[in-house]
Amino acid sequence: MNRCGQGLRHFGMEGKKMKKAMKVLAALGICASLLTACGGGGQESVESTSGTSGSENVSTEKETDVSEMYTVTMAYIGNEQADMAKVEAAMNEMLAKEVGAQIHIIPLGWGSYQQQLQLMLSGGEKLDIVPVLLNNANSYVSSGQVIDMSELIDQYGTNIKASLGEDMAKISNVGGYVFGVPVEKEWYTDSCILMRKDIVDKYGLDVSKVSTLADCEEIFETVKQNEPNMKIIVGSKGSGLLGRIGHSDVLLDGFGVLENGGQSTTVKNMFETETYLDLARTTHDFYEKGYIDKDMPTTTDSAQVIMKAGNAFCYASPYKPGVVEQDSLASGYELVAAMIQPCEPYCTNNGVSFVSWGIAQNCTDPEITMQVLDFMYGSAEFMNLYNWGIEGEHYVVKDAEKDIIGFPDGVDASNTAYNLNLGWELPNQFNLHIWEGNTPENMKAQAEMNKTSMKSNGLGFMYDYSSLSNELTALSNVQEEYLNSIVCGVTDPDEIIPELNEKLYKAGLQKVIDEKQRQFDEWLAAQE
Amino acid sequence: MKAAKRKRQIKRWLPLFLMMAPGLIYVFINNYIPMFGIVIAFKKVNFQKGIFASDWVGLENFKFLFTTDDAWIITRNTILYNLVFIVLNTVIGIVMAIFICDITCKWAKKLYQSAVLLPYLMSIVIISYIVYAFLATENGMLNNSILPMLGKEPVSWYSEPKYWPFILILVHIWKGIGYGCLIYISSINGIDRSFFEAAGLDGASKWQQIRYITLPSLVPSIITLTLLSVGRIFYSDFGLFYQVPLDSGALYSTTNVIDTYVYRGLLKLGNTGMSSAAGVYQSIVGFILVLTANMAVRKISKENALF
Amino acid sequence: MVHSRSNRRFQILAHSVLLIFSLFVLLPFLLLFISSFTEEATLMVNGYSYFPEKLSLESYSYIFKNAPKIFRAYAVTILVTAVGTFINILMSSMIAYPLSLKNFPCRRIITFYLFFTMLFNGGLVPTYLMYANFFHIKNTLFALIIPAFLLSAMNVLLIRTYISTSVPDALFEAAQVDGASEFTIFFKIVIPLSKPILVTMGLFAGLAYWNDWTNGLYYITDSKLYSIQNLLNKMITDIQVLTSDSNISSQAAAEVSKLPAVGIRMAIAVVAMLPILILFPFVQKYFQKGIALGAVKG
Repeated sequence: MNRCGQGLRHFGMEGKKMKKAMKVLAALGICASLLTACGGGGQESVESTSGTSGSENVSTEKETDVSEMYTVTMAYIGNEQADMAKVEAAMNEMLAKEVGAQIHIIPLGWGSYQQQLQLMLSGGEKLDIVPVLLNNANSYVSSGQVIDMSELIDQYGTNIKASLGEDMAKISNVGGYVFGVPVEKEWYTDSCILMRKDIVDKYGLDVSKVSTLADCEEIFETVKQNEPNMKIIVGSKGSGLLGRIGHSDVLLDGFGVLENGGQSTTVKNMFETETYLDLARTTHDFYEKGYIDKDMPTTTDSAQVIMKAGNAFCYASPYKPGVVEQDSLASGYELVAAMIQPCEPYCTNNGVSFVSWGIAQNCTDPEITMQVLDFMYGSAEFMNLYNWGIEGEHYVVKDAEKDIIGFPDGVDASNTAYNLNLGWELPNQFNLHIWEGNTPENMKAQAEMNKTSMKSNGLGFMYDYSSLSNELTALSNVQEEYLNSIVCGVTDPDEIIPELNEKLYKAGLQKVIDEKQRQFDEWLAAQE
Repeated sequence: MKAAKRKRQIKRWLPLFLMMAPGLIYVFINNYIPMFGIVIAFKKVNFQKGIFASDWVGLENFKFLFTTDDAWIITRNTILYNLVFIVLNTVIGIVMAIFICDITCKWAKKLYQSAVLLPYLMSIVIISYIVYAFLATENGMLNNSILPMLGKEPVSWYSEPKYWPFILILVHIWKGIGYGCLIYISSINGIDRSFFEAAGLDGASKWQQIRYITLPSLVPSIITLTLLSVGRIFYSDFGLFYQVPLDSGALYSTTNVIDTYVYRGLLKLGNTGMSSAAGVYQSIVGFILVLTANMAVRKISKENALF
Repeated sequence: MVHSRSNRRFQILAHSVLLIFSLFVLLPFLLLFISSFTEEATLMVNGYSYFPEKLSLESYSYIFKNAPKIFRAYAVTILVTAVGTFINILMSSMIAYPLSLKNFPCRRIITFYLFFTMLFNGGLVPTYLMYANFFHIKNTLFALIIPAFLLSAMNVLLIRTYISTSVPDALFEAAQVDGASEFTIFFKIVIPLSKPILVTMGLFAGLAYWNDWTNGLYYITDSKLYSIQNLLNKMITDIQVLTSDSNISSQAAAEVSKLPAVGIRMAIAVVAMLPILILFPFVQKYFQKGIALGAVKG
């Protein structure tokens, strides 16, 4: 048996030798840092990479001067398209003529964009235009991962200002540091519950009478009695039922909100506002009465997919003109919308700046990059190419008068080589052709609502939380612990919300609210 | 004289150093060079300036790990789960390995060996789907078929924290036992057969053979594996604690560990310095514990210590 | 006869324990397998079951439609796994062998040098910066092979323990007296005699490569280089983000409605495991061979 022990002896390391080993390690560490200091992070390596990746897709072009043009690398979040190279070539032709630049487009997956962008923006690799989602904006700004576009917008942003409006062009900013240009999508918050029309009609229910969540009671009761096996309200974890209903300007993260769609100027704890408590009580009441799917707090399927199975009645959704048609297609049943409006539709920074297009710190030529971005806001032709592909190949015009397009014969959603369909993410959705199933009226109504909806007092204000990191990590954890069971109505809000509040305050909520209020007051004063 | 000896030494060992070179260089590149990044834990990183030029903030980035009320819960959970895992992995792994090795039926042996390793092949997210298939409140197997059969009321598993220590341990064993088990199997296979033959001739029973031959010869592997797990005691399998409970908030009191806390806290903040600080904290605690544990092992039996 | 009776009791006990454990392991698998053949609507309405009301090949026909993508990903995974595992085992055992020699100088320092990497790491961002910006391996096959998995200190230490406990030093000394070079000793004696541990470690290294999706996530944005786990992981994480983030899911409704359903996810999980299930019995042969090793040592 002795022999077995031998191996272990090899691990044996005397105390003195240990110290020596540590010294060696320390030395190695220093060498390592020196090595990378020369090659790693800094700006130097940018030059070396930008040339190479740019030239490869330019080389196919015939014109000689194209190879000298700057290639703007643009990332988007969405599915990859088979014919991307073809579309990119068409884009390049247009850009060479109009702007004098080239473009290269990289798709990032929904599940991976956050991680990939975080990494790509840390170093010097080739990347120019990046989508900045609201949640990431603060950290991109505080760690300098995107550049301040304020001056660039003034200098080159003519199309941007024309299409968004002077006041909206620089709205995506943290304390004046403009991290991106918002996109034209629906900017306001409005909520509804989408119900199956066949069931609504069968029992002669009237959705037009509904204006609050509590008003739905009667409808749910009727359905429950007549269709005992049907799941009435479905949804997926995270947002549940209540999470989809807009009521306050959440000022980025919901830790301190402006009540009543932002009509107040006092930052308050959302979980102490009457509106929220009422909604939470109603939600819990619905859960107790068996209207809410018991699996809602854990389900990972989207509501539309659950609806498809045929035994669910309704789900909550943000409302915009066209959502009924869109979701009817997605869920396989004709739907009707019951409006849920704790306050009238309102416009906040969270809505407007949900996605903005920023310029990466890696970018070596911000001027030309900005010109390309600005070109996108102005050129309907370019946007159509980006979103729908090449006319005649990836889409055909179905109704020239209404500007409606669709797939060519023999092509459908399952075999198309290009159908990005990310209008809401791309710079200017309202310039696009309209896909079959949607109507120009819907798009017009959306654009109109953007102008007329009630504006939150906080519109244009985004707080800088870099001094609050410790509080926010704790707060996020506390909120995650409780939120899901509140928005799905599982637990009684009169018991759980006081408990949640206690923990939130312990975790530093008051400090966050005070800081938010301070920054907000300062900003308000500066507006006048 | 000394120089000559030295020369002879170099000549003797040079081929072996050459042999080791590729691996050691790889480790240097893959593991040591990036360690410069540990400085990130002490900086407020601004990538426009570059990592090295960013401002120092001292221990600021570490604060969030300790200033929360949950600090105690997440540390307790992390350590307790890991202790249970270390014990169960060792005991069950060895029992399975001994059984598998000493089974005489060839095909049954193969079958068991594959079965034990099978879950190791699966991604944790898929495992979370399978767990969900059993535990879902309305559609799950347990609530749908098994509990009614036993005449019990359905349980809403994803909002009852008290069940989760057992569920997580079960899932961990299910997924992870194959790893340790295979290492023990190969160690047992490496034992000189003649020991068993001699013992058999002397009339030693199966149990005595296990007690006096198999187990002692496994001690080196057990100590190596245990010390290594002790070094990672502040880390936890993120997938197991985040994906399998489906990130259900109601379960945090028994499922929140350091890794998941840091992930949730920084998901939106995206603060590189703070996540780096968490890693450094976990490593240092692990390092201290390994050194202590190793010292303890040395006290008892010097030859079994890791270094 | 005491001996054989205790042995028989042992066999019965061993079989019953292992049988129960195997069922515990296999039943969930069976559920995964059956769910992948269950009709989607049945899954939604009735939930998961070993005896589903309606079977369907729907999920697999979805996979079949994407066959070129999946086969490509298979090819990438197999190539990466084969090359990575081979280099891993070669490099690991080439370090392990010298470390197993009692009088080898620097033994303890090198052991510590390796062990230290198991406790400390520089974190993702610096590692990424080095590989992506300095070595430029982004969107190449190297990115799937080189970072993280090419050598594991754990494997080296375990191989080393095995060599020093199970391969007698006398053999090395005898070979040296015969004038064999270190490389000859390594390839002719060490490797053959360490087969059981090398196969085990090879299996773990291989599985690490096969199951890895992290390298793909960090270093690959070109879908031509996706491994099978990257495909699976991309699908699953896309689903998680698109369904659980309420803001994104309402914006990207068109994308959400295109997401593959549960049955398809299960089917892809089955497809990702299949080759290993087929391959495993062949690898197993070598575990058995280890048993005959005692004879060589004498």
